[in-house]
Amino acid sequence: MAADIKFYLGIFDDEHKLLSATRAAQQSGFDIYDCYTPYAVHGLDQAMGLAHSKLGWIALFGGLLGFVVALHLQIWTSAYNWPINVGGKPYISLPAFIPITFELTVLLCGLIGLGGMITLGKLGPTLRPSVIGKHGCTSHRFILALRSYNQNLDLGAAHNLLLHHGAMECKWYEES
Amino acid sequence: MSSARRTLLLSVCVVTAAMLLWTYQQQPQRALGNVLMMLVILLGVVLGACFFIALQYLMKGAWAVVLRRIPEALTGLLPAAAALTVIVWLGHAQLYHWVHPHGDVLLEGKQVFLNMPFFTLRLLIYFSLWFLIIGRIVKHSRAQDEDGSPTHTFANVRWSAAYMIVFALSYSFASFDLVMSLEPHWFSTIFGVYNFAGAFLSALTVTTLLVIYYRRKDCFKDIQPVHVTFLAKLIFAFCIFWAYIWFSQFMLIWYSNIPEETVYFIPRMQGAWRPLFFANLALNWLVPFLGLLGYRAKRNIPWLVCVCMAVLAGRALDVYLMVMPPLSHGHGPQFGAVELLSLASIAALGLLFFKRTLHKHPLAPTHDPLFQESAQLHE
Repeated sequence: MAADIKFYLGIFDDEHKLLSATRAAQQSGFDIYDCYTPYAVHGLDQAMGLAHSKLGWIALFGGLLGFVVALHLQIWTSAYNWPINVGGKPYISLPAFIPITFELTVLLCGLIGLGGMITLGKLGPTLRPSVIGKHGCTSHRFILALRSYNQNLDLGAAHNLLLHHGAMECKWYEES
Repeated sequence: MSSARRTLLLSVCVVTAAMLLWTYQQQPQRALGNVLMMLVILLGVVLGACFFIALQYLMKGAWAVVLRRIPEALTGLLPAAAALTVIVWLGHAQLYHWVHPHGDVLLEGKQVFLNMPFFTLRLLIYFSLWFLIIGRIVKHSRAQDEDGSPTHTFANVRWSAAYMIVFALSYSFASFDLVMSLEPHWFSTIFGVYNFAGAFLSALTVTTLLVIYYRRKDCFKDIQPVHVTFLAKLIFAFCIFWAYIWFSQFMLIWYSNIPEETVYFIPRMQGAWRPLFFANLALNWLVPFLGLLGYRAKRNIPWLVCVCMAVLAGRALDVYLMVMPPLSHGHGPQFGAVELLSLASIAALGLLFFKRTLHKHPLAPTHDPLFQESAQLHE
């Protein structure tokens, strides 16, 4: 049997109300599914209690990969596979390799970082918008979505909390 | 500032002056080289601090408004730099051998540019422009405290634009005149940018250290940890910029391997200079790059202070490597009491002028239109 997942939405007209409601919901132990806002609200990550992103490590990996690939490629081609004497310099001349090493480090760091961001954020063309685009959260509304898993949401408490922090409207939302 | 501390700082300067005079009797070039080093380091901090202010005005950067009085007070060190320039100018005959070009075909050819009257005129032009523009920017910023009018911000946007253009040209040429002409046979068009990269990095580190110090005092209660983090990010970015420019200068010369160009790097990469040459890269790039790469590193204040210290040592070493090799005539690097005292007296002289300027005016530019936005800075 599929789990019964529903969302209880608190709809706000102000980012400060959303922030205080989110902070309170996080402290009261509600299952915060997500927040939907027309623009990036500063401090929302901390309010939602999100863990620090792992994107930095992914980008570091990309950078190191680019660094190693570039150096390996240049050293292998110019000193082992087909040694070429350039201006009487040693076959392995690191200063000559640095520009390409730098560029590939930056390129792979950027591309793998971008891929990591899309993956971690579950973005991309396959994304099925859930609450996004409804209830005005792309233009003038701020939405806090609490998740109810097999009806485990304490509806009374959630409703009171949202209203207490200034929600204009509270409603159930089910993904079809 | 307590009078005991002021006396200590003043006595450091006096002892340094005496030490420099004594050194001048035996090794005039070494003494003058030290004065030139002090000048280049100090001037870099002053002009870099104003570059930082101008950058914020031009980009409408709100975040730095609460801490702007610190770089503003750093520009108060300009008279000290001017005084050191006078000493360097007086010692031109020993410092700059293009002053006596006779018999040297290359130098006789370069006399069109490298001659004393024009050199003096250029120095006068640089300093008058710097005094004028920096003076206007600081004056408008302070006047805003009195009347709270946003017109001062608009005026400063215009003066900042002027500063950017003037600074780009004048600092480049000042680097050619004061530092690069120590080796008048050699030339590098990127030299001014290279010196700027180090100068701005040092201005950022000095600003960061002062912000960290003053943040603990009540007078700067609007400065939050996030402001320090933003400065740390700029230090991180500009250590990469420094390495980029350093390498841009080095690689072209290394690649083409033409004697008239390699003459700059060969003495610096040989003998006892070699470890310093690589230590320069490590302190200015490797340490801040790896040290500030992590998320937590930029938010760990004691660690950030250590990295800033390393970068400042790196700036001193960078300037030492620009100035001293041509003045030591084939000897190895000399580092003794006079060099140590000169470095200490930059700090002493800097602090004396900084304190004098800082406490003249309110420490928070509360009437700046962007002040609230800056005080509520968030990552």
